[in-house]
Order: sequence, then C-alpha cells, then structure tokens
Amino acid sequence: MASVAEVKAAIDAAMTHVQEGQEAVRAANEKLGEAQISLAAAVEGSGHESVTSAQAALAQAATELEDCLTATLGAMEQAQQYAAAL
Amino acid sequence: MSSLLHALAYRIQEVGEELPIGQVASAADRLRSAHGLLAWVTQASATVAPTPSLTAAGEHLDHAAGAMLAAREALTGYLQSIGLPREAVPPPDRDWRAALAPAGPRRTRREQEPPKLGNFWAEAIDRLTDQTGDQTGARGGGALSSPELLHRCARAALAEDRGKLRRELIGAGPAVGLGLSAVGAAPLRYLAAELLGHPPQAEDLPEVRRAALPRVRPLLPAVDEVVVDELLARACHAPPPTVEAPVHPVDSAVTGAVLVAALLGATGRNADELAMVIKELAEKEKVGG
Repeated sequence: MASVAEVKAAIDAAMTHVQEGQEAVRAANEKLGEAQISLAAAVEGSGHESVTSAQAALAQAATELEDCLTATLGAMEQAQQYAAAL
Repeated sequence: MSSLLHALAYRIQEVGEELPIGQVASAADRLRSAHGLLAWVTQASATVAPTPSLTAAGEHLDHAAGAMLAAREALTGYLQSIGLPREAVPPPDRDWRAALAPAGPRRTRREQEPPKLGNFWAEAIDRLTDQTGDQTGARGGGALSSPELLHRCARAALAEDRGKLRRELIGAGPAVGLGLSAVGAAPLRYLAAELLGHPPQAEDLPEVRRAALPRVRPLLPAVDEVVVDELLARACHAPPPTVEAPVHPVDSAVTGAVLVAALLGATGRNADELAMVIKELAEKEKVGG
C-alpha cells in the first residue's frame, strides 16, 4: 500500500495537470468565441444549410468546453476533500 | 472567380483553420495524465472515499473536438457549394501538428516550503534504473521545471548514462518529476510522426515500438513493458493494453521521458534539438489551431 505522502504527491501532480488543462480549455474557448464572431460577420445574411450547421456545431463546441471546465472544478473540489481525508 | 468570392472564401477558410482543435487536444493530454494519476491513487490508497473523476470532463472535450471538426467540414461543404474550386478548399486536418502542441508554459515550482514527501520518489527511480546509491541527486542542483528535467533526461539517455539519468531524476524530486507525464506527451507524438513521416496511427504502433523499446531497456531495466506499450499506444492513438492495475505514476513519468529520448535517437536528433522541438510546438500553440 502506498504511503500517504506518495498518494498526496500524486493528487497534487494530478491537480497541476488539471489546472493546465483548464488553461488550455479557457484559451480554446476564447479562440472559439473569436471564430464564431468572424464567421457570423463573413456569412451575414446567408441562410445556407451548411452555414447554419457550422454555427450550430460551434455553439455546441462552446457549450462542451464550458461543461468540461465545470466538471474539472468539481473534480478539483473532490480531490481537496479526498486529500484532506488521508 | 470574383475577388468578392475570393475574399469570402478566404475569411471562411481562415475560420475553419483557426478553430482551436489543437488546444483542445492539448487539454485532453493534460486530463489524461491527471486521470492516470488518479486511477493509481484509487488503486494504491487505503482510503475508501470516492476518488475524483475526470471521465466527464474528458468526454466533454471529445465532444467539443468532434463539434469543431463537424463545423470545419460544414464550412468546407459550403465553400464547395458556392462554386469554389476543389483546390481552393483546404485539405482536411492540416492541424495535426498543432494538435501536438503542449497546453502552454509549464508552471514553475511553487514558491513555498515543499512538503516532506519521504523518499518514495528516489526508491522508485532506483527500482526502475536498477541502481542504488546516494539519493541527493545531480551535482549543481536538480532541474527546476519538468521541461528542463525532460531535456536533462534526454541528454543522459542519449549518452546511455543510466547513472546520470538516475541522478537527474532523483535531484528533480517528485513535484517536477511527475510532471514529465504531461510535458513528454506532445514531443513523443511529434517524434513518432517524424520517425514515420506521417501522423502516427494505430497501425504504426509496432514500428514505433520496434524503434523505441531497444533503447529503453538498457536505461530502465526494471520497467514493465506494459508501461511502454501504454505510452506508445497513446502516442499512436491506438487502444491501450489491458492492465491489471493502473500504471504507477512514477513509472509512467520516467518511462515517458526515456521514450522521448529513444525517439530522438531513432530520428537522429540530439538532446538540444528536443528544446527546438518543444519550442516549435509552443509557437504553434500560440499561433493557434
């Protein structure tokens, strides 16, 4: 069985990875927002099915990135509680 | 084709090319590393409390990447439907190199008194390298960041100096050393692609393994091959091997670093070129995609 110190170090390292992942997700979400604005400006007035599909897909992607961030925040909170219980 | 249509096509093409699929892939890399560590915690800890799970977060990232790819395809379809010549539409998935980019600059070691972690890290390094001795680490101080440690390990590994590899790993300590899992993933995929001449796929796994494994064994004689197989499978987007228990995070971190060195050697590069690889990946990350 691993020592408490070993387990805490692993949790600590995991949370560092999660924080870095969160930074990447936030950066991706920002770029995605810029893409949505650029696309809206470029295709303004178009009702083409492909354009509508693309815009819906980008909106879906933005929602998934937000949900990902929420899920990671929950995981970090759980990790703090878990480490405290050791 | 009219200049207005050209301008429209260019703007839409740009939107598709700059979708942050690479950054999402980088985030997924980080979450996979964290997931691996937490899986080990679940298995290794005596505490019965539920361990945090990152499964849902990973699924959301997969869905986000899928949605962005669908958007890109829809935009390609739109451009073709308005009469754009096929060669004016970008080829699919040009951002595989960007997808190899790391998430961003590695955090520096926190400015606080490090906790007393015992010597589990040094013991694990001794086990993997099949060596014992002074556990104070490298002369002149250990690496202060995981990218620096990766570079130092690559130099030692390429020189086939198992003793130096051991000293560098021990000297860096667990906080920096465990970070090797994350910083090594992108260069490993990049170097596999350089070896193969194309982005690694599942069917390329045997070739990458043949190139890497003979260089790993002399440096880490005690490493379980399943650790190597798991890391290479991840790099080649192949299904991971079936394991009885999650891989120990120290084994994963250290083996990942040595695999990077192995592929550096297999592609005729030296350790200083690793720094250039990492810099190129970071610049592609900044440019986006």
